[in-house]
Amino acid sequence: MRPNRGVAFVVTLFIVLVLTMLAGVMVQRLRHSNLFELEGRDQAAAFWAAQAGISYALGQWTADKSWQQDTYRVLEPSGASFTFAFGAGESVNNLESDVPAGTVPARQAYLKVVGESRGRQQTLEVLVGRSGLPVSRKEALLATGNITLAGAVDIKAHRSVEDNTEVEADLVSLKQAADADTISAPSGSVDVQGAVRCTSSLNSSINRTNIAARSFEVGATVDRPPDPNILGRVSAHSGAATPTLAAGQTRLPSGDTYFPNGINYEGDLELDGTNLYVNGPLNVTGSLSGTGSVFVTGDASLVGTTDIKAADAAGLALFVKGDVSLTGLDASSYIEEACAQGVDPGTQLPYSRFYQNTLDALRLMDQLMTAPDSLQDGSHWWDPAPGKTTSRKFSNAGAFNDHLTSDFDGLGDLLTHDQFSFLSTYEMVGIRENDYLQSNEVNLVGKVRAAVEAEHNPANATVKAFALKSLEQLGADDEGGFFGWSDSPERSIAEMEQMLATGDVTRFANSLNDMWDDPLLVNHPVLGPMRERLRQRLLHTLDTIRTGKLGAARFQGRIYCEGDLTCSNDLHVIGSIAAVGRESNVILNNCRITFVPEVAAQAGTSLGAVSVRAWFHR
Amino acid sequence: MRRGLTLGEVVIALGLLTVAALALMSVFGGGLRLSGQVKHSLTATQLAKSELESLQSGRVRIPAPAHFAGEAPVDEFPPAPYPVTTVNDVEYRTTVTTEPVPDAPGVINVIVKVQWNEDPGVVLQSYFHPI
Repeated sequence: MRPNRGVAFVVTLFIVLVLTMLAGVMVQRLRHSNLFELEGRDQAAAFWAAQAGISYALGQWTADKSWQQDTYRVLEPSGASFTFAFGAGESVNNLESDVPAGTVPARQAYLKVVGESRGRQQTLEVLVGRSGLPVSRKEALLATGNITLAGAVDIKAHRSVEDNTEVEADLVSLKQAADADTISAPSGSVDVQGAVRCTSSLNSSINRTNIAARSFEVGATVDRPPDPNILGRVSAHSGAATPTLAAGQTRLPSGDTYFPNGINYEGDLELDGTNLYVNGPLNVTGSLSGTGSVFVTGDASLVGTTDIKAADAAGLALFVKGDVSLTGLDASSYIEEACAQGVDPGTQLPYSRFYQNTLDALRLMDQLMTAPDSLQDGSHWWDPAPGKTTSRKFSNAGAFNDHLTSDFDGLGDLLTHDQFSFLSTYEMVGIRENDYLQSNEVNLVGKVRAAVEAEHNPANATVKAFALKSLEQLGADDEGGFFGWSDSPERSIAEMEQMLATGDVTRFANSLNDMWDDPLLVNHPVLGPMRERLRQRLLHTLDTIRTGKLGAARFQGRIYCEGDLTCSNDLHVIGSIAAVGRESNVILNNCRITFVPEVAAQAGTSLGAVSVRAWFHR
Repeated sequence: MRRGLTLGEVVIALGLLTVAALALMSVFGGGLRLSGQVKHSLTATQLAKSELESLQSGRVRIPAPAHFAGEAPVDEFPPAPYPVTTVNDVEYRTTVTTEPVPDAPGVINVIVKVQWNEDPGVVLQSYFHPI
């Protein structure tokens, strides 16, 4: 009997079995661990592939907002891929629409991209839209050097274009050097509806003489705004068209235009929804006006009238890498001098009287449109006549006769018409300090123009041409002119809606003065809330043509430069000003800045790159 | 008489144990090598991700075309962890290659490769659309 026979073999087999089981477990765990870690690598590759899909779509949309093409692409050499499609349950391009598409907001796109690598998938969902340029600040005027103010300077702020609620408008110098009078107003009076702040801790860095503000602060902490990369933006548009500039007058087409060697132009340059990219200096003598944005890599010198409205209400007006100089032709002084020299042959009255009455009439029109509704308390000349319900005299012809006083249309008629049928009973309250106009004091602008035409000093040729052109615009008496609707029949709501529908906003605004307080307009669900905005448009137009403002610079949008900003011209900015080079000095003479935080915060939304606004899944 | 193990049993048992031990050593060795490889791969993936995230932050302008394989950065491109990162005494070398994407204006194809020892390394790739 051999009872122990085979024991070693059995024991060995048992040990081998145990070892094999242990090895199996360890190998399995090792495998899982390795697979898990390798999966992390593949997930990362899939994630970055999906990111590539987003960047690819952003690039396409930057070039063409209407682009929507189903895309599958394998990235070489990594072998990862991305795919996306447009349609139900997939991506939606709503970049060009002003209304939401389902849950996708207006002017945005929803993009869903699937990245894949070795069987691993990552899905990214984003909302895409245009973002503002990184220049948004809360300051109305920001400079990195000295700020010198002269004349009447008024800095105020509204919450938004439609909401006139006052908010704070700060004036800030980021100059670090401890220099006295970093912010100063050697003459005139400055009214700041906010704080005057300076980063220098020297007390005398802010000279408070002639400056009224809510507070003054030295040693303030204020960050510099980020660099908006003007050179890069201009360079990126070097492929855009370069229109030919005609002698005397040029209207630039809508869209992007690029001038590789700067612009040196004498005449009137008009933007028609134009993004003007200038590589080099921009020198314009005459006028630069219209709707659009101007980017300049050199200095900008604008002599004459500047009137730029950014392409959208929240846009950029002027972006300059170098210095900005805004200089008026001082046509007002020229016209005043021309009118001081002669007598109107028809009335034998001095031209100066017509000129003064013209200024008064324009001032009254401005008052009429500026007076808030709350100031209709019976003590102002724009109040309704006793027993009348029509306020502000924005009335029809019947009410106009009954009031025996002025209204907007009446003042327009007085400025531009030779025949003024209401003159005999027209008590021009406010004009010439309640002096009654003589019956032959009509067509005031025409008389002023005659005085200018009679002036023949060759040295004044440029300013004379400019003045005549402005007076011609002011005196236009057709339906396309500013007073074209003077004495016109009452507009109806239907007519006004039709004007808006056809995009005839100018005619609409011109008609608005007739309808301002009409319950039809006030209670209209769409037009009613637009009254304030439309009134601003009307004031803008009025301001543009006011003879007292000839040669003014007016911007709606943000002004940004990295050199010095010098304005020896009336300047009105609805937006904000930033001069933020290494040490950019600002000199303003007679200036109004109406800071609108909404405008500043969204500066450049029409020009900013298409970028991701929100992530849904990452 | 009580008899012990036969020589045959012992030989067979030792043979089995030897075969089993060799098999297990092979399995463990391979596993450990793979595990080490995966750990390197994981580290390299993290470094490649870090490089791409630095580029995505927009702090550095991305030139294209460009190829950086150990050369000194130009205008801070490529950002760290380029060119070399040492983790647990192992050097990870980062290579960054860029090229424009022909059919997408302004879009740049960025390929980040991180290698260690003689391994072919990890490649992560993406497109960027600088603002």
